[in-house]
Amino acid sequence: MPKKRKMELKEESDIASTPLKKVATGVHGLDAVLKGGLPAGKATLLCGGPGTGKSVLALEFLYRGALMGEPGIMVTFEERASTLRENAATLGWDLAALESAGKLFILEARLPQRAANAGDFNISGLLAMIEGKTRLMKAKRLVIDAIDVLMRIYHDPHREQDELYAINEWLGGLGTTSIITAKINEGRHSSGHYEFLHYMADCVINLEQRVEERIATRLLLVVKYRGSGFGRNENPFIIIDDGVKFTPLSSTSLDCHAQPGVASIGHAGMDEILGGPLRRGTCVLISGSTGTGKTTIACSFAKAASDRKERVVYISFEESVDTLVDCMLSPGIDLRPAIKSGRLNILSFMPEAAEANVHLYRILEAVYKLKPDHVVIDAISSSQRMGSRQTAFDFAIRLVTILKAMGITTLLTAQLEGLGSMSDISGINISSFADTVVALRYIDVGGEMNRMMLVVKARGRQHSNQYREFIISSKGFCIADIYVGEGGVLTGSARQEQEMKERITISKRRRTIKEKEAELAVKKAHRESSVLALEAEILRSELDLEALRADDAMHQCGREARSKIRGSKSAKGRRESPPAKGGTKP
Amino acid sequence: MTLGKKASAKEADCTHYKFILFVAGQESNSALARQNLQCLCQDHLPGRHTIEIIDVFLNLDAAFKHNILITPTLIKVAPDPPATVFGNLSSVQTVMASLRI
Repeated sequence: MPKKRKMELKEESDIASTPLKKVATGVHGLDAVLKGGLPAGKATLLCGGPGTGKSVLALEFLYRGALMGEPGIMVTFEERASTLRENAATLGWDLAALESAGKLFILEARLPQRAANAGDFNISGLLAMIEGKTRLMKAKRLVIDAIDVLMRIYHDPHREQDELYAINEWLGGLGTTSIITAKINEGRHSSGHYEFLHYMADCVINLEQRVEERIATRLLLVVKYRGSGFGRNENPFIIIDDGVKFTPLSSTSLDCHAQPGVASIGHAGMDEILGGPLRRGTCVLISGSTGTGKTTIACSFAKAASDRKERVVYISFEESVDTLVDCMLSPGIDLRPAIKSGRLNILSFMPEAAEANVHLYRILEAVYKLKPDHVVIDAISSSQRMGSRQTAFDFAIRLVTILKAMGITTLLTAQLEGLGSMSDISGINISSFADTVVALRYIDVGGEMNRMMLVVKARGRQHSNQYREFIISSKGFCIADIYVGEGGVLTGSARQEQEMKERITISKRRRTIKEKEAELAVKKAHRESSVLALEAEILRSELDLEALRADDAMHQCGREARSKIRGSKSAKGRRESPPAKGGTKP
Repeated sequence: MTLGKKASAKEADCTHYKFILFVAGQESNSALARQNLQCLCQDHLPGRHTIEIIDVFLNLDAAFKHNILITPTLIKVAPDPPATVFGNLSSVQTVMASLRI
């Protein structure tokens, strides 16, 4: 292995000791994962088992670079250039055009198969070709796919180690931003001498394909990145449409466009029990068993938003667009004008049709394109059908986190198994990251099932803590005033019955009062009449008394007259006294 | 180089051998291969061989044309069938067998 190269590269001086320079890969979402890109002028080791997407990712790095005006070289040890071109064509990449434009060069470095080995050798020829092409094309990017195939020619682990070290040194001198792929068969732990590569490289990325519940998920993990921070978590990715797609949680490219403020859920009564309209950019979870009215609430919300001239993306995992629109006519929610206006976009996906990350990508693409104020996911629990429970949880977390970061209000519905269970509100444990959680459930009373609504949580809000009856009629839904009596909360006909009883009791009481009032009036009248009779009697007694007195006076007068006649004392004084006596009361 | 030895060789030995040896500058294996090839030809193919030596650092086009990844690489251009041997050619037996000399 040549330790001293004849061709010293002037680019070496360009690799300054300033804070790490990075090269944007141009791969959708990857630069956010790598916080800018790959280390400029250095080599990155890309490890992974078969079918993990190493070659595609590496090739896209070159393809995107070439499109951005950075020429690149692909050194392929296994695949023919023609195969690479064909595979690239399925993603819509025209490699041949880039090749003829001098932006891409595919070095088909197939090792001699039937050549005999007669003594020691090295790979100077290859390195000379790469170096030569790099200078000629002013290449900025280089991919070696895969280094383990190249190393196979040595049949000696120690020799391989030495050669790898030499190649790494040589790459440092070359000045290109390079990706070296390496196959690693057993999970994420590389075996033997390739582990040494991990120590050597400035940046190490592992790719893995994990199969859970018969669904394969591709994952990228940054194992090491010298001089740069990096996310420690696994990043799922998919290969779809025109390349590799990542949907990282922390993405700086997300532009928030939803305005601050509140948005009604579309029903004044429900806003009230939620402690007010929803705050924009928050996440609402409506959970409940099948048929409890989740979709009705979701559609009511979507329609109300559209009526306010706001944009909504409605992801339906349960029903087709037509079925959903038809079904909603029954509770009197006509979505057609909203759809026609272009403000409501209903997208229907079959959960089983693709893995969770594909769905996530599709939803986010729609969101980037349509720039909605609100997103409805009906139902988030359907994500369980995209794989395992964990897949569903990851899907939900990623989706909600990204939408929140964009300032979009998210309304999730979640279907619960069984009819009355409330042990897990969301079905997939996502209730903790929802800002508002509304639980719908059935209550079995008096031979009927009635719908109940409970606001389980509403962050930063004074919400109702009571169960409400939730009634869906042909005029939408309504939330019945709660009956709170001795029997607790009652619903449906039981509630009506109880309310009737209540009304009867009240009217009975009212009647009794009226009766008592009438009785009192009679008594009062009775008293009045008694007083009058008594007064009449008194009057009569007075008259009697007066008559008696008058008689008495006349009797007195008669006696005085008689005594006068008989010639007794002064007659004058006696004559005057009877009128004075009549003036005073007896 | 002498024609005298030709008589002692078999009838088929009149065939002319044409080789291209790809080397990487003055690097040790390349120098060794050059030396070994010359010795081998002198011993076994006197006067009926042509050796072209190409330095991959100086003639990149030729390296690309022949897809020379490994140095040193010896290519037997003639007679048919063509054959390739890589390494410093220190294993004479292997070289002889591969080139069918």
